[in-house]
Amino acid sequence: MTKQVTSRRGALKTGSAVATAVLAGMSMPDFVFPGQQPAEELVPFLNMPRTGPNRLDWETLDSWFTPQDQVFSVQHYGIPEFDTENHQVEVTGLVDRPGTLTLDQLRDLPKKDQLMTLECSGNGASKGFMNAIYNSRWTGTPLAPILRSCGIKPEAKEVVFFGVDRKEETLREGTNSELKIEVPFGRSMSVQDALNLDLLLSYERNGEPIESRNGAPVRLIVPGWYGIANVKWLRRIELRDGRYMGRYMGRDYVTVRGERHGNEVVFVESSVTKMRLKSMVARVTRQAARDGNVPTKAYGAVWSDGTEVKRVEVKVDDGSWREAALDKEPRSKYCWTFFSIDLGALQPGKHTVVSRAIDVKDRIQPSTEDEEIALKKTYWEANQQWVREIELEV
Amino acid sequence: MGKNRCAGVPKAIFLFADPPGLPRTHVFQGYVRLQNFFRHDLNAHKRRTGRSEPRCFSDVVIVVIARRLAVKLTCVLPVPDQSGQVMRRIFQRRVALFVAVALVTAGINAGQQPPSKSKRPPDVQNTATIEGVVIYKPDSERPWRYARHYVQDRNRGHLAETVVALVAPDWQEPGPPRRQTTSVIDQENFAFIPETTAIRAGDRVKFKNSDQAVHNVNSFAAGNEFNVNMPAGGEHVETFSGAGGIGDPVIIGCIYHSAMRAWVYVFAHPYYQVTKSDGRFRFKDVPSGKYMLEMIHPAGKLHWKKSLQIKAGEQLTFDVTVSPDNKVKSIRFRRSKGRKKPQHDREKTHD
Repeated sequence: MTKQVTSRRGALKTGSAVATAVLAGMSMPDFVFPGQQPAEELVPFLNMPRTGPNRLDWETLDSWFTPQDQVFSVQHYGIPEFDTENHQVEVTGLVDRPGTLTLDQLRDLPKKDQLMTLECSGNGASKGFMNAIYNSRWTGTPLAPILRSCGIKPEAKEVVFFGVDRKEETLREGTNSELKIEVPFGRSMSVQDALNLDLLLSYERNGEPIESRNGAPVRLIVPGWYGIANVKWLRRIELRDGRYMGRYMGRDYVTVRGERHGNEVVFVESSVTKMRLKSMVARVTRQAARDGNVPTKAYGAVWSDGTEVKRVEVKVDDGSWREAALDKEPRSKYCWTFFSIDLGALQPGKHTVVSRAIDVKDRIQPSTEDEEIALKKTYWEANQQWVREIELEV
Repeated sequence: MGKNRCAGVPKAIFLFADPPGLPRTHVFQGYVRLQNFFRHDLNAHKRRTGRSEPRCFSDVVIVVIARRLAVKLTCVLPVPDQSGQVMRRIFQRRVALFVAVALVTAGINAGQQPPSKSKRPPDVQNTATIEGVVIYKPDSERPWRYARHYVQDRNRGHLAETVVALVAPDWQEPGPPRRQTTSVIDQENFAFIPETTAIRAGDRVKFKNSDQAVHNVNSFAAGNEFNVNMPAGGEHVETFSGAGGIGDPVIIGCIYHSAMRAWVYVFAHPYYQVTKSDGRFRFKDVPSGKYMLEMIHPAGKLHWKKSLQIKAGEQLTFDVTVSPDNKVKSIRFRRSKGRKKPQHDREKTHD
């Protein structure tokens, strides 16, 4: 019977007819980016895959807080099954008064909201992984007072956060000293960071209990750090006097980047921690053509590790960088900020649109050609500029 | 090809390796066809029995013997003069090739005879036609943000990439002998294209990777399990044997890019279609009887069904109108016997 084998290239070749039909049929867009006029209609990006479930759908980005059905989740040791109602968080190691906290005890402690954009450190590494980011309100209790109340011993240097999830890891694989051992998922940071980064032991997201896949019942929230640091299903907080070198600190989620020292390029390995300055064109809209050209606007989002963003610039094709308007609200230190720019009336045909962010320290979001990205040999911390391709029809 | 699943194939090639009277190129083509034939056949055989030996070993012997006979037949012709000898050699080769191809084809068709003893679809003489359009009716209170991929004409709401099928409880087998077909699913721009494919049990799907990145193609559906890495430009052909019908598609993924997904619906009968942008479907030569007309949109998780009593000579038209009211929790709602929910925990590579 009927087989439908549709080539995306083939579809794009007939793009003009299809785009015209789509635009003619769109009486009102279902999703409107803040500030978008009803007369504006979406210009689909070329050569991009459709967004799957539980991923941010950039082209219909309409909400500063991300709806739950667009929230990504990644787990390396699977989603653990355990008694979440009677779950306890243990504080142990180099403290004077180790102890455990039940969920009720956590909820009785001072409550705090943390608004935060959480991004996977691999997000943006390829067009197949562009949607692992969401913005939400986490509610819980601050960690620093808990650590202080336990009495941090002077020799404690590192705080390790272990989840309930466990898996067998293989060390020195393929050698005579190969070792297989089951370990819990763990991430760590210095005691200083743990006390100063506004860490939260969170049990709610957007006013609802956290979903299991997002780390229920308790998740560590580390504002401004990549997703991997936000340990899900938090079980144990351990203070130690040396570096913790679990897989996701010492062997995986390690960025290898070349740095120039004179004429020499030295490759340096570093653990993925703070989020890097990044912006993205989320959608391009158009209005009806005037005098043969198409009025076009671009909308997007910019985010960082909490460092203030000075401006966002947008470039069409090989034109000059032009400053976009940053939304005055909603805004929060660790959250993305939406931006928009009128690109003017563009000629029909194919165009590229790209944005870059610049922060108050004058750091500029790099392009793929810049050495910061070109000499990066791993895909984490993928904050390169992302070039969008569009096609405009009269 | 991603994996060697056919330990018995070398035996078949050995038997086939002495084909007198045929040019080497034709011999090679014969190898390929036989290999494909046996790969399919052995695949099904292995799933049923757990063993790799060819089920239709005698078919190979028949083919080889028949081809030898064909050559000998041409040899009994009167010996002509020198120029005629050249003509005879050409004639001999042509006859041998014709007979060989005919027999190989016959062998393939014979190999596709269903082993099942269950009922075939009813007599096709006593038939009707069913056609219609699938329409999506949006609800602004419950927006479907991905509708833009599937509804090109918002005014009409014609819904593309739905699977529409007739379902009858006694259809358990592929029906009359037929040629095996091959659908293509490409991996392009980090997406499976098309997302939704419908085939007959025993048909093949050729997976391609047109990206420069390494992909993977896998299914953890019992009876249709495979897991193959796809380098840039790579291909993998898979035969789908188990017919899960509209309620139990084979879900295809890429282990490296978890957002990539596709659905292969495998049917035991010919009454299924995947709608294009006009939303239309049409089944002709439908035998009279009681059926369920069902529609599923796997990406939108939309499901619709209606029971039908079809009489001979009827021409029925339906507009299948769906809305968010037709949303279902899972697109896998009717598991065929022996197919279990996959328990595999797909590895993820990012966070």
